[in-house]
Amino acid sequence: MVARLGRGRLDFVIEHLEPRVSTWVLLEYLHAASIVGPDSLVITNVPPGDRERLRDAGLRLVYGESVARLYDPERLLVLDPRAEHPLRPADMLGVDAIVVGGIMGDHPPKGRTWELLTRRLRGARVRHLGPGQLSVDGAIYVAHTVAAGLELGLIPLVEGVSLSWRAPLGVEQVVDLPFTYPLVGGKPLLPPGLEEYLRRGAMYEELAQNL
Amino acid sequence: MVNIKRYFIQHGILRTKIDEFLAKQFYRAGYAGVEVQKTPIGTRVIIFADRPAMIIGRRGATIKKLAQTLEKHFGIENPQITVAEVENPELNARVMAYRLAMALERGYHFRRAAYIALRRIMAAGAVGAEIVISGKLTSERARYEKYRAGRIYKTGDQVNVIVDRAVAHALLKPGIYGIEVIIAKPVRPVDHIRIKMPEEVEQSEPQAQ
Repeated sequence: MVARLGRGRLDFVIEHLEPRVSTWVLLEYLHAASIVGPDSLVITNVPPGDRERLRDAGLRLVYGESVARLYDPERLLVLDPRAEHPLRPADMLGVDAIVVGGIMGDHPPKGRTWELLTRRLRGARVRHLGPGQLSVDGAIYVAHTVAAGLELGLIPLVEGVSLSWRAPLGVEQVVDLPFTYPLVGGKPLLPPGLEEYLRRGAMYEELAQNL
Repeated sequence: MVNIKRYFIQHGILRTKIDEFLAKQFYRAGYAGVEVQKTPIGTRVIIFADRPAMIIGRRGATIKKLAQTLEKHFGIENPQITVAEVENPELNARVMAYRLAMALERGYHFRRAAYIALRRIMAAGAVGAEIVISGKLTSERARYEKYRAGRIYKTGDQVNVIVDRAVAHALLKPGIYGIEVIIAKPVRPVDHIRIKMPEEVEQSEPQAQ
């Protein structure tokens, strides 16, 4: 039996639910770690081959087991867009960890957090962060801000982010991300390095290597 | 008396049904469009395609089969099918969307395929073009990638005249991708607005009240 976590303080848990760890996933996790601090971010359910990759990138708490085995489900708070109630600062009382699904979203969303995570955590509190679909690091940022005492409605969010740049031969290239991102200083909060990653189009080469 | 509205609606629905059927059946042949004309001896069906040979088939085998299908399933009397090569395939959004979908299915690099298509459209004399690829790769977020060149019109009545738009789907291992091609054709708009030079304006005498 794996030793249960729950260290008397609030942890932020990302239950990794994608088949592999792509660069985009990694960028969001690293950004989440920089928001809450590397000692407060726990990444669970990571496939064996990818654990070292995450640890090498600077993430300290990486586990192969699911969050259901590491924590007492009754002391967890799951963030799921399908939840009935919004997250409030008072919800954090008596909670060991806030759990976010490590899912790279579809558009329109398929409700995978409910299927793969919430259904398996019986007894856990379930809350949502508004109607939009947030990125993993965005959800962690919002949850962290609410945990600090700010009401959910006071956190500025933006729906849909559009990144554009000039490509050679007079071509304008635009990448639209149909997700919700928190606004910090009037700008959407994106993981550092994401724009460069999208601009280079590196994901296609990466995908070809992994298939 | 024939209800005129109903007649034209039925005609339009039939045309759309045939169009959708042909688009699905012949997208590899670079299907571009269809015209259905009633003649005294039957119905003339003109199919425009990038590669007409693929629609005609060996010794007209495919076209014969198609005539039977049109008669049986779509109720067209005595269909006379003509296959014509589309005049300027690079300025036809449907042809370009299908070409791009096929390139992706064959495993071409997304961005390279889109760039090549965009360059071809612009080289053919288009005023502007936009290619949108939407979809989700595994372990990546869903997103829309757009590539734009030149001027694109998206609003106003002129869109009906100038802009050609088509959507195609490419089925790949990690999922299905939507491809949208918008081409602003080099057509002179019907109306034209400009500010007249002072010498062009005739000074009219102020009328005495």
